[in-house]
Amino acid sequence: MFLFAFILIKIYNIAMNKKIKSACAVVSVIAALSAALSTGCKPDGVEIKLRSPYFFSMGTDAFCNLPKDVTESRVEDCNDLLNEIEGLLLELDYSLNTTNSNSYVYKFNAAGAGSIVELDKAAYEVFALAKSMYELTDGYYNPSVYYSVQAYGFGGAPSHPTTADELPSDEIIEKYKALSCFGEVRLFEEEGKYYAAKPEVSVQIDGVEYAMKVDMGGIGKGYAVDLVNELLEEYDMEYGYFVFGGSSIAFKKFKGNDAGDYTLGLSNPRGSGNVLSTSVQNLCTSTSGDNVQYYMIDDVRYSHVMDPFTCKPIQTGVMSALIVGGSAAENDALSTSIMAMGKERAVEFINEKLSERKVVFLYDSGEGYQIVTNLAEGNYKLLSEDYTVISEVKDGKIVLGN
Amino acid sequence: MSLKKVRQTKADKGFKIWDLIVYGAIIALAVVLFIIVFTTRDTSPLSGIRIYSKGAAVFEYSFESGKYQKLSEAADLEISDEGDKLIIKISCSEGYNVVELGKSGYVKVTDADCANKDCVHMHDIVDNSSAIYCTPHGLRIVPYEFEDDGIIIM
Repeated sequence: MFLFAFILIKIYNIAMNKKIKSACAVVSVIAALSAALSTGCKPDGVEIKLRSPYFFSMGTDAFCNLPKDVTESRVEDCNDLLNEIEGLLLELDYSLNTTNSNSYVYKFNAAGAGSIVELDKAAYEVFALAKSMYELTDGYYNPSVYYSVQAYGFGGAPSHPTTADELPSDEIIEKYKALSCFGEVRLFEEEGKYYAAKPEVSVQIDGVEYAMKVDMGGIGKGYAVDLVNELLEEYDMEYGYFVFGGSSIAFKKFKGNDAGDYTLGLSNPRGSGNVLSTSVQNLCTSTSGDNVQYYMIDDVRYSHVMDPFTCKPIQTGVMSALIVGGSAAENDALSTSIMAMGKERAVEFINEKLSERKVVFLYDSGEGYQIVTNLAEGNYKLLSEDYTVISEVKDGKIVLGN
Repeated sequence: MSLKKVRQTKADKGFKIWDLIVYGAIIALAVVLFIIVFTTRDTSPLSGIRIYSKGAAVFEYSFESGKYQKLSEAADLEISDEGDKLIIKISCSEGYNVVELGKSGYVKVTDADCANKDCVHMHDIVDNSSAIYCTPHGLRIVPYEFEDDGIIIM
């Protein structure tokens, strides 16, 4: 830089000696000052800057929100944390993405009936978690409805039916049902390696043999949220949140109020605005809804949430479900299951097995929109006149009104 | 040049006092502007972008939610989602611009039919400090900043 300034001064002197009417002298001085300011004022030319908190994995987006004062005062910590999150999400994509031909789930899906497929630890853990959720929900959570999801035009399928004639036939659906036998997947460890054995079941459709396939996308996102939540703890991040795919969130505290509460709103699946809100902090939440991926044929809604017993899009009247507390991965599975269960069975299930969690689901009775929840009155705010709360909470259990 | 004129030129001072005052003022202004530009640049990560066509907001994308919104029914937009990026073609009576929006946090113009294609050669928007303009088509792509208001809708 000194050499540069010396050369500029020389040019200036020459210009003066030659009496050149010297705009070039002014330009030289400005250039010298610019050079000094742009190179000399940064510490050794290193600019410390926060990396992007946005991520893309398993075909969807993720975002880590950290308060501005934290990102400014702990730049290196925040960058390390965000880099770790990126690494984690990349690894999980490599484990669980059904469209990534290198992923373990892809290899599981590509293998023939009865094959034994090696998994990595993350894929194995997610399979094991999916199995436990399958058992807990009596099969209402079932990641092996893969073919039905595709046949109805979801899960990355190129198009969806637009008329009743284009819907998959009952005959085909019956065959897909035979392949949705997730309970028969066998998991085992051997010499420090992880394996999944596919069921022997296969079906023939138009001369092609099909074996079971799974999609761990939903529960996988929750699994990622749980791991990122642990990272937030490790990095001592007291405030902010991490959201994956818009349906799974790990909340820390909100810095903008004394209580540290975030306001969590449940959107209206049949219109605009929100149905209710509740306060949350330091916990994980997940939602499922039939209003995100769906289409209508002859006034019937076909959503991406499948009834695992009919292998058709749910027609239970449950429009969306929100689970608060516990693990995000489990919540992903549970919210989907509640939608498939229908109102009465879901209430029974929540009372029996989810009393530690807070659950809200929205139900279309055909005559009106209803809210069922185990949140005590006073712990939520009703925001829509179109919805009626039809449940009470007694001894922590939901009691349905008439 | 006559000998008299040469002698007169040699006798003249290089700069007169008003020259120095004017030059000094220009330098001072340049320094102040330089400092303002470089010290007030907002290099925080990109939260979202908004596209304006002829002064009207036509498109908005939030990197947080990964969701986009067409802000004007009248605008001629073709949007295709290619997984990790969105390709947005914005057409108007003067021509078109093709914008590539990377969901990881960048925005650039990849094609246009304007004369100089300055917008195509401008730096990508990767933080809140920059913007892209296409004057012939009246196109403006600017960052808007996400603020945590403590409300999350699911």
